[in-house]
Amino acid sequence: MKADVLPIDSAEHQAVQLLLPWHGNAMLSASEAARVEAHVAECPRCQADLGWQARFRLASADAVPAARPPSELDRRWVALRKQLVSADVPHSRAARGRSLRRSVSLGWSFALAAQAGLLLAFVLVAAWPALSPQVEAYRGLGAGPVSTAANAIIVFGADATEAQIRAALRAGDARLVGGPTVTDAYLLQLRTTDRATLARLRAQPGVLRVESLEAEATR
Amino acid sequence: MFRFGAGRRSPGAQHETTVVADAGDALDLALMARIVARDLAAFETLYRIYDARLGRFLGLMIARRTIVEEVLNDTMLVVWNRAATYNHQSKVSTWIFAIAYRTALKALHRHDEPLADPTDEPPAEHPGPEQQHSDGETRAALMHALDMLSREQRSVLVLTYFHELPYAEIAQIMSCPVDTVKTRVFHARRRLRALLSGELGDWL
Repeated sequence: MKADVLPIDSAEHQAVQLLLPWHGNAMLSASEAARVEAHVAECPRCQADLGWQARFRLASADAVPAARPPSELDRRWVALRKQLVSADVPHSRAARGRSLRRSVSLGWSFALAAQAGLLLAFVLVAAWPALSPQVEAYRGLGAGPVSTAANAIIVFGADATEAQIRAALRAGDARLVGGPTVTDAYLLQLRTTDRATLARLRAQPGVLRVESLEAEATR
Repeated sequence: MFRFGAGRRSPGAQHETTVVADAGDALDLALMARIVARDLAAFETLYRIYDARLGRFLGLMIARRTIVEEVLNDTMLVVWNRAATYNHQSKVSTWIFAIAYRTALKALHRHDEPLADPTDEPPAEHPGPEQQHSDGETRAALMHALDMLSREQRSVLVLTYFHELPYAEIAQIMSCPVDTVKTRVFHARRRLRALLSGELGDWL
């Protein structure tokens, strides 16, 4: 009915149309989201667009290429690793010579860049407390400060039970301090990330993968 | 500046989703620090984390599977070789996706590869209203419609709807202004909707 059609500010409509894709997946700032919501409430065309986007997202979920089997991933990793290893083989003498000449000619440039880098690093270190966001960590009553730094990740199988997860954490004397990440990994804090601890965790039912986040040399 | 907690947000689930994004970012950063120190184990972990995500992105951007594998490999080689140049101006994931995007464009240009695979069959005849779309039919119809878009439109749609990235990150990945991203998605959405009106019109 004509009486139901509300006058729409076309400039505002156009501006909101440009934001709609991210309103659908909730990635707008609070002010942008409020602007979109205020307009959509009065705009049948934008309401229809949001409905279409929701259905499109559902259809897209079915349309993504199928995940490749883990065995393929292992094969590809081995191939890539070979490339990395061969790339680390020392260069030929000629290549080394070229590299040396280039290094000499660029020496002054690097020196200047290094000096600028040191200056920048000093400024950043001095300004870091002001630049870092102050995040208040949750702390229970009476609890003292605790370290939540993760030093390992763990991935559980899709069918891992809660009991298996608890048992795995107990076996590794591990604390869950974050996650899941977008790849379903969880961050762990282990007392030690030595090979025995990692192996014990990996052997637990329901555990797919465990990796230390500490450098090899420190283990 | 590197943004903390710049993850997916939704009313009522803000705390949980921010933690999820932080955990992923923290993990990526920890791995990158080790990769800069040439830690192969850390690189393997990063490779395994990103394989599925990059495969999904590239699989929707490039028709030929052999080129997808080649681009994915080349992308991760660049990550390994240039890890020290990561400057924290963006999230690690944005940096890696930007490398993948540029590598894909170069590969497509090198192979003179159209986005659509010319050997692909057009989607099956649209079934009657009494039949529901199977997953395969839906996929075929959507892929066919995506194939009709320009390279930029297709990429921006994939990053927006399939990967659900904020427009600022997409702009960083595609090295273009934020307004360009918004405009591209607007036109791509309009075109896609017109293209799908004959395929999944009843459903979408």
